[in-house]
Amino acid sequence: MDDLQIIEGFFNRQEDAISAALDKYGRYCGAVAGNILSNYSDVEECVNDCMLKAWNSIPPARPASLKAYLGKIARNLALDKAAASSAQKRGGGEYTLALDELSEIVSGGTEPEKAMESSEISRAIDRFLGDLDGTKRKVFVRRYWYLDPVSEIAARLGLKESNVKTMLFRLRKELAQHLEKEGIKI
Amino acid sequence: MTNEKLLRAVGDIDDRFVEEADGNYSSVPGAAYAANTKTSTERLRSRRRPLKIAAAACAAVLIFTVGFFGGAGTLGNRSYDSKNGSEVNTGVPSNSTSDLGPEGLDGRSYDGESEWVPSSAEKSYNGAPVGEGSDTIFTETSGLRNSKLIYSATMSLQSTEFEKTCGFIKELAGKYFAYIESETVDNGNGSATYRRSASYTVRVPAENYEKFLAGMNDGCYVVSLNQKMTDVSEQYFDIEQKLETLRNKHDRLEELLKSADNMTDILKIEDALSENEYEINQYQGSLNKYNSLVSYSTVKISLKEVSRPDTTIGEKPGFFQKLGNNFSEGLANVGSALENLALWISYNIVTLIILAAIIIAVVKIHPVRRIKAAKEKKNG
Repeated sequence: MDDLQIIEGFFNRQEDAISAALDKYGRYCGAVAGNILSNYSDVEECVNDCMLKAWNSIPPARPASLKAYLGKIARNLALDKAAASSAQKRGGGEYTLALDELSEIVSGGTEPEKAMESSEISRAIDRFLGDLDGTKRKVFVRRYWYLDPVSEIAARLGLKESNVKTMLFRLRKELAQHLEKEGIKI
Repeated sequence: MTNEKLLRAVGDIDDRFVEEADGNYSSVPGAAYAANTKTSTERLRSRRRPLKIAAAACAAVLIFTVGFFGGAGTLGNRSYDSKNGSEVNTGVPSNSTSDLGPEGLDGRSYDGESEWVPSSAEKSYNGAPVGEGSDTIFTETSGLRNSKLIYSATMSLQSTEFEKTCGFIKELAGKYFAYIESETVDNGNGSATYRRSASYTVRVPAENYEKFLAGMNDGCYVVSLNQKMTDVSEQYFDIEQKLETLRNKHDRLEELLKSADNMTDILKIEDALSENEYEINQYQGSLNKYNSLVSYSTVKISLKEVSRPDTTIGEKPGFFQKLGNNFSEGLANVGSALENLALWISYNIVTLIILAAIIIAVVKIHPVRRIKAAKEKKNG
């Protein structure tokens, strides 16, 4: 079953569309969640919750890319779970490390009156990513979207770990400058 | 803003960026997740860096080996020693250029009776007109035109009209659809001892190779010509065979990958595919290199500007002719020496005047002379 058929199945409330989505993208969602969560049962739970959330949100949503849509749901669910685990001192692996890295460029303040909508920040990040060359963009997305370990990014893209670290350090600085320029207080 | 909010905002970026950065997660089953998600292309890329160096080294060694040891011998070496005025024609194949003994690389040998087919041949001419008469270059190899043969030659030229000859070489290259791979021109300093010179590496289509060499006689004075022919058929067809086998293996592996249903098998097959693709690329590179060398012969030309070409080269003079040649050469050398002297003086004239002044002053005011003059005055 291809993506369009799966989405149509969701629209027509056919339950076998969930099985098809799970067969096709269950492992992908597991991989996304697995980078954030260290506990396998949490990952499984996250994947099941992801399918349920997709079932509840399609319709009305009609994703252009089912894979990315499911990946995003899985990621957000995993982040929620990791945040809860972190609060309970159960550790968060790459999630904690990524947060530590990003804390270098954020103030940490809440400032509710100036708080930006998350979607506006995302669009600003889109523009930032759109200006980067392919390799830098992949490195950034692999690190802060997929939360891949640095060693894995280096191996995947044929780079040295030290190069990836340096690239990420510069990208964080550039992102901070870009967001400031767009009027987003970080 | 908190770091968590920023991380969540990153989560909502455009789907295209997510897709772009994605590997083959959907095709890799199991719970190993990210650790096993590299695509075969990416794995190949990450491996290629060190392997590229090794491949380049292997190619260099291979080409060196083929070039240096590839000969089963030379065709009858014909050389002319202009100094002694004698001509030597060994008439039999010589293995002097091969360190592998009479069999050479391909095991074929010359027994003096049976037909001898060289895998590598060299021929040297000093001053002999190229392609003239019945002594056609590499006639022995005419039956091997379907084989993979690499022709190369080194030529030394002399010219009294340097620029005209440079133009002629380029014109000839254009006429035979050759191209000049490299060109170096040294403008000298105008003196008789340091004249202009140039060197060219010309890549000539193999079918025009002999015509190009013969054409050089029309506009240049060919001082020496060394030709080499290397038969790489065996290596070439061997590589072709290996490539075919590897491609068949690649097809089989792809079929296996489609039907594989557990992660361990998929990973093993992907590893094997990466290795296979790397080997295919490596052999294809070698094949391309051979194709280039076979289809375009390499002619290295070194051109020197001279006041008069060395007329003794390439001739078989008698005694009186040699006497005449030596006399005219001697006269030319005297002229050249005088020209050099005049140039040297003009270059060092100021130094010479200062030196002369110092010598005159020293001689005139030397104390011994003054004492002698005083004594003569006293006595006189």
